Amino acid sequence: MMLLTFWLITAFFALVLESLQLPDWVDWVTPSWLVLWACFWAFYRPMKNQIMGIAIMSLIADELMQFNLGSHMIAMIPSVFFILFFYNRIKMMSEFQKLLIVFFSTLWFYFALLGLSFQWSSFMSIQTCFSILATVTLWLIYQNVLQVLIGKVSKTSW
Amino acid sequence: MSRKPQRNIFSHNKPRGISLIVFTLLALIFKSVDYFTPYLSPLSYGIQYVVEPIRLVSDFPQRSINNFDNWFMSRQHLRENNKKLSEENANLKVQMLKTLNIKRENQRLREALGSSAALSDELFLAEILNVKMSQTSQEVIVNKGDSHQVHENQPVLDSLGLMGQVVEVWPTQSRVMLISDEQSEVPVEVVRNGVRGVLKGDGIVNRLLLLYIPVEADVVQGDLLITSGLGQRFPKGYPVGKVESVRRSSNGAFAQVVVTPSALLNQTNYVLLVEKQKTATELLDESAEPVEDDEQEVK
Repeated sequence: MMLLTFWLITAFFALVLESLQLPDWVDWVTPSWLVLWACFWAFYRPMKNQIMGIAIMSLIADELMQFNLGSHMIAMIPSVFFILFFYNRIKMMSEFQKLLIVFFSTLWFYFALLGLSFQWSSFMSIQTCFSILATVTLWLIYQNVLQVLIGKVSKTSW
Repeated sequence: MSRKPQRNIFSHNKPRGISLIVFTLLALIFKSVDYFTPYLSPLSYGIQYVVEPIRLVSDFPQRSINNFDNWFMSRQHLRENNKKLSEENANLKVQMLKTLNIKRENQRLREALGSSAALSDELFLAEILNVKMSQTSQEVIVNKGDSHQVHENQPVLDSLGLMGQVVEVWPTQSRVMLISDEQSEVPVEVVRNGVRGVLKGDGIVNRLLLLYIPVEADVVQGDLLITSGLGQRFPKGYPVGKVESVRRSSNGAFAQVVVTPSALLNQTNYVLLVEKQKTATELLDESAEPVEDDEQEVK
């Protein structure tokens, strides 16, 4: 129960951070918090109904960021499915290999959100490149912080 | 006594390939249906109950920054501001007294002509919560929604002119498409001579395009454009913009007219939603007293 609450809290903050109103220059280095969140839970604490959870989260993200319903689902579900499908192999991978998976997940995320909506100029922009780099860079910190917090949460019982 | 086994939802369960196909198909169906039809609007509306609190939290830092200046405004500055506002208020009261007489006369004339044209609009204030400015969309989210009787296509103004119209209504918030949005089109006319055209957004905040103006039409730099009221979506008479430049080429049928919007599309924090338009008959039906009431208020 505690872990589920933590899952919901991290989901809430991922959405808040994703839709945060920031000055233009900060937008250049804003990571994709949704990818970080989805990858983290798929790598370290997968749920039985992880894909369903991601689907619901995607619909909320679509409404929050004014995308057509289903846009974030296409952007997030294939990556999460891939991680869950090869979970046992990925679990044994090094941090660098996991980082590569995060990189490709982020790349797919932006491709599906922008490229599939024919916003090619936005997808091929330097800003998207910076955002992908920011996501990959932040992954190392993000996963460490959340693992520590999960460790504390798991020890606590209601 | 047998104990019910505890369900652990956090355990790895290898997903079946079919789930990827099902969810991808579902996503594609959602995307197409949402893009081409309004059938998913009830679902969108329901999701807004979850989204609105998230949006309030995510907009909090930006609103705090906006309010930062107000918190630390000096006493001297407040006094100056107060004095300026008092002067402005006094001037407006004088102007209003003059307008009231014209309004009364106008009502009688319209009544005599049997005209049902709109004369008065009710306005209510809304705060901008979120701004989305990009080449493809120019929108703002305001803190008034279904619960405040906001409806789709409702015109939105600021103190200087027309800002846009409500395009989507949620429980307590609404999405407003600005006149600078590429999809926005506003029927307008030139105040000086009544030449009509359609003002289209260009995806750039301070640049609008006036369409369908013949090359020989009398439109010059500095002309003020107001809403023409055609199409009955926007009320007549609100300032929309000023002509910035006019380019006439010999081989084209229409002139290229660039307009600067009157409203501060990317600076204002508050907007006015036009509630409804009252016709001359409705205004007179409300009894002859309101004008006197207005005068008392002004006094």
